[in-house]
Amino acid sequence: MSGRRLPHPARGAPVAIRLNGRPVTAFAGETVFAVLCHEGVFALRRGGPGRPPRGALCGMGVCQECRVTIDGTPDRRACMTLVAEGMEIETDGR
Amino acid sequence: MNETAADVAIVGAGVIGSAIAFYLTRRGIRPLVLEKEDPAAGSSGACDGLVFLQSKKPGLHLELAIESRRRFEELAEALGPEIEFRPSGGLCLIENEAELAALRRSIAAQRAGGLSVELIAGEEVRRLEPLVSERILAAGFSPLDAQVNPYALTFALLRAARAGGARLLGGEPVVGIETAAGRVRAVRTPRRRIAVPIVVNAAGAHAPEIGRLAGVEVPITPRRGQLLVTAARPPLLRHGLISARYIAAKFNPELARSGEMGFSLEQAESGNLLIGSTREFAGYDRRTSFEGIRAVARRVLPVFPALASIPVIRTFAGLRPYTPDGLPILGPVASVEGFLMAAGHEGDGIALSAITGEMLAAHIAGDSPRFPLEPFRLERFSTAEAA
Amino acid sequence: MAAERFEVAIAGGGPAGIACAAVLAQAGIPGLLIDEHPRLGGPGLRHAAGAFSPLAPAWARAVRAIRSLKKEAVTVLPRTGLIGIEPGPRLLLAPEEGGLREIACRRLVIATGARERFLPFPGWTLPGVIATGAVQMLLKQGILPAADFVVGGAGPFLLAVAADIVRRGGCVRALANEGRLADLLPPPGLLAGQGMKVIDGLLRTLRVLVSGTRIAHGTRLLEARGAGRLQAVVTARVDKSGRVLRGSERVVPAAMLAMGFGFTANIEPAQLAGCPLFFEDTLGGWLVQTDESLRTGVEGIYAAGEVTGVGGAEKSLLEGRLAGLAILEEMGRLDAAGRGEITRLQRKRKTLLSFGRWFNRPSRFAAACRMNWVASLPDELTICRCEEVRLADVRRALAAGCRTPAGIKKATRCGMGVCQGSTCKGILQEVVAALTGEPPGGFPPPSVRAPLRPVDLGLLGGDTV
Repeated sequence: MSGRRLPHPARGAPVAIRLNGRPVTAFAGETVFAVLCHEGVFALRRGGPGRPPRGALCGMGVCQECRVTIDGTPDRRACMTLVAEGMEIETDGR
Repeated sequence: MNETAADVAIVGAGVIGSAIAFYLTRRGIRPLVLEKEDPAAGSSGACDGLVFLQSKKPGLHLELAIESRRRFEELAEALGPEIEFRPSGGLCLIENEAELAALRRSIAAQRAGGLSVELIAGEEVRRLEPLVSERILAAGFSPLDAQVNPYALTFALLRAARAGGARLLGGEPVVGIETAAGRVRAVRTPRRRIAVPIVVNAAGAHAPEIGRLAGVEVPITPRRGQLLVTAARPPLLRHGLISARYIAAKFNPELARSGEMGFSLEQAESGNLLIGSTREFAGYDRRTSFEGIRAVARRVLPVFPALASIPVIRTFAGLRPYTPDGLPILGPVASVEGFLMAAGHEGDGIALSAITGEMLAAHIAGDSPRFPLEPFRLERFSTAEAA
Repeated sequence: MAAERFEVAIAGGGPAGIACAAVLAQAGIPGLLIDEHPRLGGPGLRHAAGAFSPLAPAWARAVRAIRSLKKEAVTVLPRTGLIGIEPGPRLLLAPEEGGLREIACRRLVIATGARERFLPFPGWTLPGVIATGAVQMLLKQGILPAADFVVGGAGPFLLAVAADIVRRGGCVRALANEGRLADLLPPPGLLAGQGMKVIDGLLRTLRVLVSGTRIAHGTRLLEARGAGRLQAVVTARVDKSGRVLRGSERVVPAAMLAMGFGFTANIEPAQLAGCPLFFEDTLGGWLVQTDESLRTGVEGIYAAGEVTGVGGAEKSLLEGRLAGLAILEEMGRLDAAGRGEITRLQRKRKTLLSFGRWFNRPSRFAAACRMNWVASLPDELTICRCEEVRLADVRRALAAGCRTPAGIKKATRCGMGVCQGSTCKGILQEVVAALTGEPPGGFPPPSVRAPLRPVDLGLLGGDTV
């Protein structure tokens, strides 16, 4: 159950990234959050060990719910990070 | 004006006021606790949870602390697991030869004073706490050092006290204390007048204001401590930790001023790390400063380099009620009968709450406390009272 | 570790910050514009591309302002978090590339914008339940995150976002607005000054209606259901006092719930800097107090945009410009024409504040509704998402003698988590107001300390770059 891309007048160039080990094509200018939504990944992390999964909420960097690991660095806000070539994104929504 | 009466009024619903209320209700006495804001709104809600004996000065201070610590198991039993009491043991970390020499002496004195504490070598320290860096030469270890949740302790003491008949009036600052013929008659808040013969000043850093209402000069000065709180992590640390420098700075203001202040560190049951702390005379300013929080970070990192990648999510500052000799001010005040002091615990309020509660409750009930109040009385200071 | 010095620093690169920077740049005043995000524009504009509706000229002006920003006179620092403010003013910044930076400035303009306000309901923490603004930002990036949506909460922004979804090919299965339709109708005075915005709003509403979306006023989001992620939303009608009408429940399948309950200003940096605040519910809650020239109560600090009252992009653009001109006046760099413009802007500002009040009111509770709302919430409901504090914990803290949100924070850990209360502060304020009978602005907001965002311990203990 994933999203879809819409016609966009200023879509950037394609960017090759990896999401949980899987190669994904994103586009320059998109946030990691947007790409995750497109890929149907809504659950981004666990609220804590044994706690239910959580996903993004505010989309503007305030709520801290959209934290994912980017290029090995944990706790990066997906909504505040633009995709870049070769980016590795790991979520923990198991 | 609303008129009411009580047998005992306690000013301040911090850990000290709440402990006194708790121990009083156990003796069948029902105090009225007057709190200007919310319980633990002062220093009891702005501190870490270390119940440390190694940081106490050998002599009266250490004896008091040992007595207090003895009562914690029973308190934990009475109040329940919500207070998160953990007899985890504590390490006092030594970074250089000078500190090692000083700590040898201090450990000997503490042992003579009845504390179970020993000097352990660096490798043993790292066995106990793997994250400690190689630069640590040795440490004092005491199995009696412990940890507790200071807010939870305060709330639990208060809850148990209220269950035992104590009353709490929150949002009611004490604005007047009426005395006549040298004794307490009543206490006034903006909303009411309470006729009461006994008033306990448990107002912590604000004890001087309360004292002044009764015509009593209280030599307590707020000494600010800034702390850092990190995001929660799975268990990384097993003990309460302080640096030898931290203790030295406590008793030598010069060291504290020069920035050589040491650090304290614990991991709360919630998983957050609490890292402290500055010791500054900054009046009643409870803000944290760039300088202060960066100094705390700088102090702890060389000893725990693995913590560098943990985010600090907030900082806060608490005001330690500092007295000129480092001992709390407890017990009756000669110039005003019925006015009792229970403040001035300077960063040891949590650890000394149990014994303070018991001592004051015993005195109020007319018993002689198991630990004498005499050495802690206000009169020990030369400029004790206003006319 | 000497701080770098700037004449003027602007915290926040949304419409207000940009407009202010533009004024200063034009006058050749070296300014520093700081924003947390990689792109300027704030949540409303940072993902915008291409043409704007002629009915929303403010946005287009803002984009032009960004593009025309004279980079020589303004140092733009995107991807830079504001960690703290101290007297000076002095700023502590955390650039994304690492290190900490300390900045001293003569004047500071706080233009940190607004965030969405949330009210909790069972299941609101499910993945797939996100803010209306977040959905709008996804659409602006050209991504439709789901086929089927429910849009719910309260206030006119719901209609705007529903219209965006529908326009981009999504299906809004239900739009649940807790308020009354009457509250969304603009008062006649507003039509006079704000015609374009009102027409824009009406057209969006028409778009939603024409799409066949069921718009239900007086309808509350009751529950979000799903295993691991959102699968369905339960709505129910409420009476005029906010009581749920049992039997009116509807279960609507959806993969995404766009929820919105209005906006609240990001006043935390100003609060940290010691700026006096005031409370006005219909302008977004706690706000920064300023004089007519947007000077705060702290020497050298101005506030512009949503932080002085949530009023949208046009107000922010105006205030950014006003603050910039006021600074020029203070520096003796403004001529008669400029002073005349200040007067005109101050007058126009009043109209925009009225717009703000009309915009925010429908998402705010009347006292009786607030109480009935809390009464309907289950005890296990999560109030603080970061620390998993439940409504039952809050009730218990009140029973234990806490009377204020700050006291409840101590007793329950509500607001002590990673987001430092950004999400739950407003909720706790409403819950405590309902349970104590005090008005929501009756308690001072909990204190704010540095760091304003999480910062690694190693960074804090390192040297400034």
